Amino acid sequence: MEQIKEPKKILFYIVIALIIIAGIVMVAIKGFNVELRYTANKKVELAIGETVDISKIQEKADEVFGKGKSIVQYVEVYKDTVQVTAKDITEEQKNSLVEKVNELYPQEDTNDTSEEEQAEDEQTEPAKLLDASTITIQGTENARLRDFLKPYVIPVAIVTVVILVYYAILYRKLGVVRVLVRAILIIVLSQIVLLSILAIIRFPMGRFTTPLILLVYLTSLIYTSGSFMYKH
Amino acid sequence: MKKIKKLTIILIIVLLCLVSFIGIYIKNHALMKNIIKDYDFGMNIEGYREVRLSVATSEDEEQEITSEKVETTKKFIEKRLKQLGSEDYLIKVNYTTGEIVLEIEENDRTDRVVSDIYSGGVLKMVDSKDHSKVLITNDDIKNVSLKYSTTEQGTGVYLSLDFTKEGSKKLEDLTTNEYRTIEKEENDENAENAENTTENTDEEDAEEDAQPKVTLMIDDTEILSSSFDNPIKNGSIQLSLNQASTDMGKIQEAVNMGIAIATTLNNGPLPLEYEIDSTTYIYSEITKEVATIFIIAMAIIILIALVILVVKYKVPALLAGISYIGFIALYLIALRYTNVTITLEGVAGILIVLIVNYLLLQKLLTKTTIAAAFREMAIQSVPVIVVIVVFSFISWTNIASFGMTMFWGLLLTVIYHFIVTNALLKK
Repeated sequence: MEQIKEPKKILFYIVIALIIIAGIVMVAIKGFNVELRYTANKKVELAIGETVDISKIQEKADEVFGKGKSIVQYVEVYKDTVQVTAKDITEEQKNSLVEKVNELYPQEDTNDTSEEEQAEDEQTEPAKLLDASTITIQGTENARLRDFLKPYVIPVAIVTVVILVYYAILYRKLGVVRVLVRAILIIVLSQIVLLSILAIIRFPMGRFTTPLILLVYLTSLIYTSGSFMYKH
Repeated sequence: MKKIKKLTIILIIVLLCLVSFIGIYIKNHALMKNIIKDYDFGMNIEGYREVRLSVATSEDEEQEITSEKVETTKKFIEKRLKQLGSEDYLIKVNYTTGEIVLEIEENDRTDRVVSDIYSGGVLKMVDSKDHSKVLITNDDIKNVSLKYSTTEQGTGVYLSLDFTKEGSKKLEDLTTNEYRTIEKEENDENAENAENTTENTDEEDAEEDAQPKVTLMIDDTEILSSSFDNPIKNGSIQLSLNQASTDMGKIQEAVNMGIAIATTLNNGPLPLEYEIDSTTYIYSEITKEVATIFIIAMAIIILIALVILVVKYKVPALLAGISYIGFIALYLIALRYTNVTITLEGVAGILIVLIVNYLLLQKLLTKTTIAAAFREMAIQSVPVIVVIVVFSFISWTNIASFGMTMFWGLLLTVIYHFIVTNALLKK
């Protein structure tokens, strides 16, 4: 493994320090940008009655809630019902969304038809037009961060301890304390840098966070292993 | 000769890529169907069942909701999910209203798991005729486990109830005195007067009525009623869940029922009674378009990395690059057929395997022998091996997925590069 030359090394440390400082500032001011699914949110279910294009509904949801502030997901297998989730949904926003979706999927309104036609329609097919008054806003509490991090704590702790012991034994000629300090520093720093970057770029924390943490964790271990091997 | 061998290997790699990235399509009725097995995706990629549970309301009495009770309920549900083998879920709780929203993986066991997680788990052994006479409760049960017995007739599944010290005393008392099966002295006489069958039937009915029995109830559902032939002094009773059978379906059904009952009872009754508000399947936000963008981005990164390798090491790197693409194709086929559940953590595992393989390729191109390259890579990959060993044994789906994708990846890396890349790079 090639060693970083001295001036480049200094520049590298400066960049790392700047990233961490910026990350800390961002977390202190705005906190992490937690994914909607993991925060307290509200949702409405729209049973449209025909296969819908989810991207079109997302466009309409973006118009109502703002870009990137809502998620639209298919509900059940027929793909004719969607669920729109946002941090908060007011009655006005719900009505506006329903109106926009109705414009997108114009369907027969049975209100204007004659009684006979209505009776006929009832026998054949129910009215499909979305009626905002029948759509309820459901609230969901947030998921606790510690709940979805808890399963990872023990395995990661076991792996880290085993690997540190392995490094200490295999590279003892480099100095046990030095090896351990360097390994721990690389593992911890890489995680802090990752979290700082995620905070700075306002990356949504949630499903992608643990895979990213694991990816960086293991990559840092492979790097540490390689760097010790090179020095050894 | 070597050229022909290399060309043959390249041809095989091309075929492998076609099978893995495109598939093998055969006509099935009017449609073309890919016969290559599909991936098994986890809930954060494919979708999940959202179950909304609310505190049951009744006109008779209102349940007092406290945050402690809700927290205990949540912990019980988590324990039950673990014991029922459902380890890919997300739970959200409203501590004021007691509402619980559970996002759980969708598979053929989901319905059963959902019905079992919120059942109250209240066990009562009552008098068959007077249900208000409660003889045994959850507090008297120490442990509930599943037992099997195999005879010539097949396999029987039993639920074994182990009682506490206090419970054992109660059980012994019940089975010795009031609920012991009445000795049928008349039976002998009846046997002698076998011709009086009509009269006997009436007498048997009367005897049946006279025989006090206990009824085992779980959540107010009668499970069975029985009297006891012998006093039970060892503090343990076995309840048969099926007739001994060789039918695997029936045995599995009994086992599932047993696991559900045991799980419910072992954790004790839920502090609050719940009912299901709604249960809906929700698709993941990761749509096909998002997945396609990710795959294209990965493909571009891999191509750039391979181009860098070719620029640096010329023709051998081109062959190594072809081999690398072949490895990806074979790895993806292996993941389909080894039934690894691929979650987002699993995707991270796949990326690690690709990084390790890229590093190995570099070493294969620079080292004089394949053994030297492998030795160096093995030392560098020790952390990956430790992670595989630890993570593969964790039952939490996301962690297991990370471990298992890397396990198959690393195993394939050793075999594939030893055979294929080695042959391609041989001068």
